[in-house]
Amino acid sequence: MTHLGERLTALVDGELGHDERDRALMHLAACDECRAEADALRTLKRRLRAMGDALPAESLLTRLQAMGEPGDPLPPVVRRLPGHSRTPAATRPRDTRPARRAAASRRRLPRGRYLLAGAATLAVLGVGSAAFAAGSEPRSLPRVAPSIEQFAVEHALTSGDVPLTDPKPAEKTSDSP
Amino acid sequence: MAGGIAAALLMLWFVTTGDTASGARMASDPEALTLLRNAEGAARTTAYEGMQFITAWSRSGMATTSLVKVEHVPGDGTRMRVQSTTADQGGQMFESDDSQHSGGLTGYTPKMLDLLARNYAVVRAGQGQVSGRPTSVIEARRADGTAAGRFHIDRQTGLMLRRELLDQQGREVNLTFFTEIRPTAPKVQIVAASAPHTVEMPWAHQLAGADLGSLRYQGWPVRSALPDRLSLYDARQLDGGGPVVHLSYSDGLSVVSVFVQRGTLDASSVANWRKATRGGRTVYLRDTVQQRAMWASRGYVFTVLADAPPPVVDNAVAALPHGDTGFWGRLSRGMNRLTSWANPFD
Repeated sequence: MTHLGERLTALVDGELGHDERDRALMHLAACDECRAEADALRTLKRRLRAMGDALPAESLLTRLQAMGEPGDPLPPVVRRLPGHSRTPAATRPRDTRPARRAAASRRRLPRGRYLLAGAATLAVLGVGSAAFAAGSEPRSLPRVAPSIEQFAVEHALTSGDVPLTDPKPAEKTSDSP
Repeated sequence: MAGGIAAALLMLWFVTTGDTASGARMASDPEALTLLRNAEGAARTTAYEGMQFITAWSRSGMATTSLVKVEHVPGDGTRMRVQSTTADQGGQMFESDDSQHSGGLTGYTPKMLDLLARNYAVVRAGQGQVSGRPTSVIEARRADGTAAGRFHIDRQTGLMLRRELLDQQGREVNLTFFTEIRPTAPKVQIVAASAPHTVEMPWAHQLAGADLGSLRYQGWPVRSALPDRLSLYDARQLDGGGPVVHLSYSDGLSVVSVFVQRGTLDASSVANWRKATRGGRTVYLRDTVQQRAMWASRGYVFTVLADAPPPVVDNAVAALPHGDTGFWGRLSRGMNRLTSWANPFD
């Protein structure tokens, strides 16, 4: 049997024409030696490509280089003492409203709005609780090892294709629920 | 009475599902459709034997090829034996009876042909040749005019000799053709009573619309359609220790099978699979002659087997349920369940 030789590289690189590629693939299906060589070439190509992907982006390299250069002075560190609030009091807007007036404006709010807001909140809580309850799962679910071989045959029978399956996996059925 | 009406409505929904999603039917050439329709009949009534070449390309462009010896005897069925393969598999024997064909080189059943004509413009595209036999070429074209599938029909026997599935860029993602084929004289098979004769059959428990509605009511994730105009065209169940639901989706060319089981995924099942992210969640992939994906979500284990371009498989996988542990997952699952209770038609 004549091996593929240099045509293997062209096949792996997708450079063969349709007919030549089909002939090469047909040869691969029957020739262990060429198949092993093709696999090795593909692995090598994949690794090289992965190395290319792993190179850092240009912007990251630029930023890393910039770290070594002298930059602007760092901003002062503000330390908070225990008991001090996060926002300085000076920056907080002062409430200048008369206490009685503010209370009056609160009283003027219509009661209907409160009722509406309350009803909406209750509805949301109700639907949420119902959804939360409905979304519960049984405590113990069976562990499943899908039977690929069986599925491949079933898929083939409903799609009309030839079933080609992996080596039969260790038979493992699910625990009964 | 009310139950009967509801069941009838569910059945109607199941039969017509996908129509709204796929939009207007594309204009096809009636003669091209007739050739495809007749190919299915020819596959059943013609005695032949030959060698099939099957190749599928994975996402990385790697091809997996198998050579399969095929022998068909009308009324008896088709025997297929894998002669050699580049996949980690081989030596399988497969036998189906004549009622099981619905795609591949065995032609199209009316249901699949309808899906094909609904989603693609099926037209004649000249003459060709496969293993020295003159053929009529038919293409299934997308709305943008690119070919999504190409078929060669033998001008003498009417058999489909070559089938190509093409991606948006015109690259083959799945190719099946006869490297050699010989029509044979019909013969009567004499099978000794003691000889093992196992004919594969699909799972017997076929699910109708009402069954699917009931499964949805119980919380099973049963979709009537998937992205890329894939419609649910067949649903079956394997009864046993734990039921397995098989949902078959197709657009007439690509076929995506979704197997759903109740439970959590046994890690040993995906020991040699590639871990990847689809739809923001972890799935396990394997590219063999078929594309395969497996993952667990919301108390169900999903296994996808597909003869379809990788982007179609990715979209289908991403559209199915993924992940959802914790409070928000439970809330989302519950909302879905409440919605399905309120509207079993969705």
